[in-house]
Amino acid sequence: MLLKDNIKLGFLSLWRQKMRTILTTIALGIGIASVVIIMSAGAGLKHMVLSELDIYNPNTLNIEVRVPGKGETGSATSMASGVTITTLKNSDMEEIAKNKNVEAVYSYVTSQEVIKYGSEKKSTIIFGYGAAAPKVEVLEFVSGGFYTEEEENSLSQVIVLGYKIKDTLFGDDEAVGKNVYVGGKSFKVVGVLVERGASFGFDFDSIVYIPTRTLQKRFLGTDYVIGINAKVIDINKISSVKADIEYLLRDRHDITDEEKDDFKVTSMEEIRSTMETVVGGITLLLVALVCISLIVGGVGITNIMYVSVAERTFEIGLRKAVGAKSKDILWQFLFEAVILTFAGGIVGVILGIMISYLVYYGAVSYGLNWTFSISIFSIILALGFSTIVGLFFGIYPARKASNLDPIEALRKE
Amino acid sequence: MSLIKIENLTKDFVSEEVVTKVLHGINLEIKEGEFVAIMGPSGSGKSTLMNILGFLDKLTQGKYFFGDQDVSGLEDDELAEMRSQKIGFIFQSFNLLNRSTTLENVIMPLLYTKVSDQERLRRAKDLLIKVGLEHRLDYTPNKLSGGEKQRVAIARALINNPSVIFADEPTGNLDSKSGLQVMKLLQDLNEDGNTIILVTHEKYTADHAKRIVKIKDGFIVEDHLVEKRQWARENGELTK
Ligand SMILES: Nc1ncnc2c1ncn2[C@@H]1O[C@H](COP(=O)(O)OP(=O)(O)OP(=O)(O)O)[C@@H](O)[C@H]1O
Ligand SMILES: [Mg+2]
Repeated sequence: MLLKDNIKLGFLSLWRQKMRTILTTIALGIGIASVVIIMSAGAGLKHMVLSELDIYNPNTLNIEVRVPGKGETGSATSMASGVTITTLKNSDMEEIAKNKNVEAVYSYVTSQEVIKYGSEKKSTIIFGYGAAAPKVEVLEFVSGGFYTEEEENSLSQVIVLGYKIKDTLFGDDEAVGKNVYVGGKSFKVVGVLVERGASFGFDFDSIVYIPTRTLQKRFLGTDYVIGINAKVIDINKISSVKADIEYLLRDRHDITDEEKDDFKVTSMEEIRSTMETVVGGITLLLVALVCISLIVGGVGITNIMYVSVAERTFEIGLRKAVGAKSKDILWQFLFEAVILTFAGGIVGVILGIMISYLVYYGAVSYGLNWTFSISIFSIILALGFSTIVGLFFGIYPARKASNLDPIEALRKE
Repeated sequence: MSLIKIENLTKDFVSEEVVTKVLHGINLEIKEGEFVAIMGPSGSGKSTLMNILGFLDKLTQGKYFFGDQDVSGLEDDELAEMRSQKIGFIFQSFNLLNRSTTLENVIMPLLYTKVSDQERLRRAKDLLIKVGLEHRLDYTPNKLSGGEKQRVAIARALINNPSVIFADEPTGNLDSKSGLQVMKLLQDLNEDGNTIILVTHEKYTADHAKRIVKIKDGFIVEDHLVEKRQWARENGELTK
């Protein structure tokens, strides 16, 4: 039997059993659509997560305090429950700055104070940020700029406002040059940042920055910091710089056993690749789950095809009686199954693209930094998978049909 | 030369250790252009013999020659090929595909041949004119009368230009008028040179053939020419 006759016959037969065809196509289509949606959402999520890292230079090293002797989560929980590590100092930062491969470095510490301008007040997180911060990370200003080393060293009372804070306190008025009160002390506004958005739930636009030393001396009365960010000149040397810093800090903090580190050095590159791996892993897991559900759906296809073979025993007998060979019947039923699942695949891809677009639309109007992307790979996967499901689950019923004895089958009218 | 020749043909049905012996050594020769009626009581083995001659079933023992070819031991696919190229079947219960149109039903056997699309359509239309159904091309069988259905089946049996036409009780489900129309078609086909083998248990139907072969309990008990041949007339009825 010719290919074109087989295809024609397959379509005709599906057309004549419309209800069965439609229901199967929809069921399969939804499954296939899920594959497309998950893969598209995975790409969107990845873009969103990674774009949150965009405010950091990839060649940045972050040094944060940690509770010695505890694992990653142990350290985080201890700190959340009030354990303070006071061993990381500005002097550590100054030593790190001496490394030939470090371009710029700053330390940071946080506090919470009430900030006030005229009658407007707001309690806010205050970041003590070293004056070198703009050389390390991306800071852009609506007006003014960041404070200088001299201002930091002289413990000047200068402040840079986040976008939203400026808006709350000043509205549309110019803020640079004005004085605000932070915890009762007068600070001169030197800069207003552009909108930075949120990163991992932390709203960068609702914070203010003052020099680290000013915060330490004027408010906290301590000399430790909670973290240091360093920018490396050559990104290829980042791991050796990381090792240098670890060595330096262990030496300065009298640590002999890595387990007892009271700090942790991470490169942005590491964070980025961890994120990528995590998002990729989640996507893969979900796709695998959907594929399993598709296989379950495939068993349904087998069942439908078996019923179809049983219903059409007479037809099979007749076709054989007038000259159809076993393989003609095998191909007829296999084609039917494959056309059916392929149709499901096409419906699924279209549905998947449409829903993915809605997800994208929803995410964007929700303020997320999402992208709409449908990879060719996901379409090939969806169509390929649906065809394979059809072949795999159609073959047994088709075999059964092709092995029927024509005389026996003709009795079944 | 004979078209069909069988020697000592036997057929046993074997199922679950029960062996049913149906044909016990049949010898028969049929020449091209003959019109043979196979008669006999119910269960005598008429259909079984026809199925073997028509390559639907395999013989158990004996020899079967079709033309100059020994076809005694053909495999399933070879049997299918013989059915496709050499045989046309007409069944008592019409055996049409209910979801397919008249035209599709008639063309169906050609799906398993290399005949081109245009040729398929041309042959089908010609045959449907011949059986008087050119105005029913798009009808599905449920809209056709019994006689019309059987005429579709006859057109289908002829579509592959078969060497032999087998008709198993073709008038069994028809009223006498439609029955006669079918017999007239068969006689016309035979006059045109087609070889026809008709299975029936009715004498008055068998008398439309040229030769009668009687089977009883798996043996041929009579084999002779029809003495007073009946001719089916237009608009007549098939009566005793
Ligand atoms: N597949 C089979 N397995 C076992 N026995 C069978 C099988 N097919 C037919 N028979 C038996 O063979 C015998 C002959 O059957 P067959 O159908 O050839 O009879 P028939 O002459 O055509 O009868 P009828 O006039 O009723 O159609 C019957 O006894 C039947 O039961
Ligand atoms: Mg019979």
